[in-house]
Amino acid sequence: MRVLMFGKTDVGRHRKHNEDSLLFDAPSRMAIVADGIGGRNAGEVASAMVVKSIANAVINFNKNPGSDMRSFMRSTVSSVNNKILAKASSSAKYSGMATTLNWLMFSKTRAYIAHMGDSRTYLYYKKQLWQLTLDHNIENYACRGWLSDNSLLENKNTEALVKAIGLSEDCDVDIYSIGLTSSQLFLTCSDGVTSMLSDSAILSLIKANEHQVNKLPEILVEAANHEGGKDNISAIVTAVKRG
Amino acid sequence: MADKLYLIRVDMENFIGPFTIKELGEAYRQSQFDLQDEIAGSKGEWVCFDDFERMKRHYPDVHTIIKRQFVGAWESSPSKSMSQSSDGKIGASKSKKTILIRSGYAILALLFLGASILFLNESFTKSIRNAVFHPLLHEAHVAYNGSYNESFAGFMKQNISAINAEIKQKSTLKMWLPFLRTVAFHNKGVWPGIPSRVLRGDVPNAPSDCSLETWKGEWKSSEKSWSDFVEGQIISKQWWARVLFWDSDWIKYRKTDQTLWLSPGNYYEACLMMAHKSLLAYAVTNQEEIKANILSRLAWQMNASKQVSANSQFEMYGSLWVLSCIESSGSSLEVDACFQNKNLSNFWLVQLEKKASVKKLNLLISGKEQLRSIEMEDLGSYLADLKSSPADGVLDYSREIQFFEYLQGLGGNIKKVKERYPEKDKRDR
Repeated sequence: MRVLMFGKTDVGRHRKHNEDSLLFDAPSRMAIVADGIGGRNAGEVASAMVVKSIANAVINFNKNPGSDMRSFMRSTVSSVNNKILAKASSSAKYSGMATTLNWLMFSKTRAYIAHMGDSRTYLYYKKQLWQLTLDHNIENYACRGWLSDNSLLENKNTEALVKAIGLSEDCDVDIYSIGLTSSQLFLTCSDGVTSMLSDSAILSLIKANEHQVNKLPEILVEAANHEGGKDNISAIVTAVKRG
Repeated sequence: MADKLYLIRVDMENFIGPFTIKELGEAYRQSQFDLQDEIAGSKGEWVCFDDFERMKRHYPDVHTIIKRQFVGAWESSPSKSMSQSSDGKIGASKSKKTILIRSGYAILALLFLGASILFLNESFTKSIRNAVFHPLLHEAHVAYNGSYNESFAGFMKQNISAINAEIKQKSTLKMWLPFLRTVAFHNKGVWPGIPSRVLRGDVPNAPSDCSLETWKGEWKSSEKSWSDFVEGQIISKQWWARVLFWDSDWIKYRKTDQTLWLSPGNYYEACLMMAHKSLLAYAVTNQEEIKANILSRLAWQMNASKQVSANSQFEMYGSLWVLSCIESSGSSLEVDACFQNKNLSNFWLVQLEKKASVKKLNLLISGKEQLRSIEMEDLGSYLADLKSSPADGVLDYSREIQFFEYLQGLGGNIKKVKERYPEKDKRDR
């Protein structure tokens, strides 16, 4: 299977800086969205560092693949996490910096998703939509009983992240995989998209524009801005084609 | 309009599908996923297959399929399950064919059951038949001699290649399976060349792999959560935590699909054995006390499932003590006393209240043939309590609910319910 990739990032209508970083490269078969965590220092530094480090690792891996994809992605994320932590402790201006990560890699037959935080990857197939990644926030964890019920009371912001790159030395990344089929479409986006657009709205936009996949990221960004654009907005669309 | 599609998340990391409802059934038959995996429809929430309550709410058509196909052996008659179907088409147009197919399955099941009974009864006929047609199997049978022993283990080890050649045929595999399982779960929980799902069999609400290695990973990945768990603060949906909730009654409600087991007597016992063995060997740094607490709980569960009378002075503390206390209670008052004045989170209290309701229901019918009217009121009350708690994927009680709803419908006639659910007779043995 071959992949086509299109992406767009935008500062939105309320923020002064864009702390999202994105990278997509169909020949390398990778797509990355990282969202520097708001309210912390140097979120944009963290997200850019993550994207750059992963891109370098992928280049090396493609030249000399020494392990299976899962192990490669897991060890890369762990190493990037350590880099972020080291940078954060090197200077007060970087202290506490962190970022979400949604990193897709495509082999010939499968897609792999490394995920930390609340950026999301969706699968669109035959006019239907599934959220593949689970948002790593307090609300989701408490609802599943993975955190004490006091967590909800203690934290005013239940959307606060439990997992992200740079939050902790314990880097427990989720790695998912799915078989590739022609006409699948993967949407990877920051919460600037999903906090403004419901899943139904996203599905409607994709359905209405699946004939012009190249324009979809821009259409999603525009729609998110139209709904308020309260955060930075990033979207990468990967279309899977036969061949 | 396009067919409704469902995506399945297997072991929390691999997606399979999307499937139509028909393809979903086929994928299950091919063991592509298990009941502990999750499913989502378009724009829908992820729901565990064994979380019947949420499944019914979010995906009624999948729920119908599960009831019909996955827990069919436990279920009501074909006509009832079809009338409950939300998919009228299947029920109406295929009813004759379905009944014929089901009749065929029933005959096959009876034949297979008959064969299994012959096999497990160590009958003279079987010994002669094996000696003639399956001499190696006969030798294994002789070496086993009623229990796992060194000579039997040695025989199986020496003949791995020959046995693996024999079990290439499905029918022969079934004859060997009790011995393979016995050897596997007295050692590392594996038999070379046999997938874990085959060793496991068709078992609801249990891990797909209970090998020693898998348990090692389970303990390692969860070590940081043990303390909060045993202190009754957090609940985990990982298998290590769910298994600690199992009890002997709960296992009995589920082991009806378990044939072809010798020692351990079923897959649940096998998982408990492997969990215990693995934790015993697992080196911890600062958590010796917590590890000992969990080991005590597992030992208690193993003894209870083998119907060895458990020591009433169980050496546990915290939430695990409460679980064992409920299980060992002889009256509903004793059950309630178990978690009074305990500092437990709401997540834990919900789980314990469910367990307490089931325990009270089991106590209510113990040793009786017919409930009196005052006991029927208790039945209604405990059942309502149990049903009012949302299913959350920690411990499934759908089978208990079905059983007691049926008892309620028959006016408390326990004898009649046991005729309808003959496998439940084991509860009083």
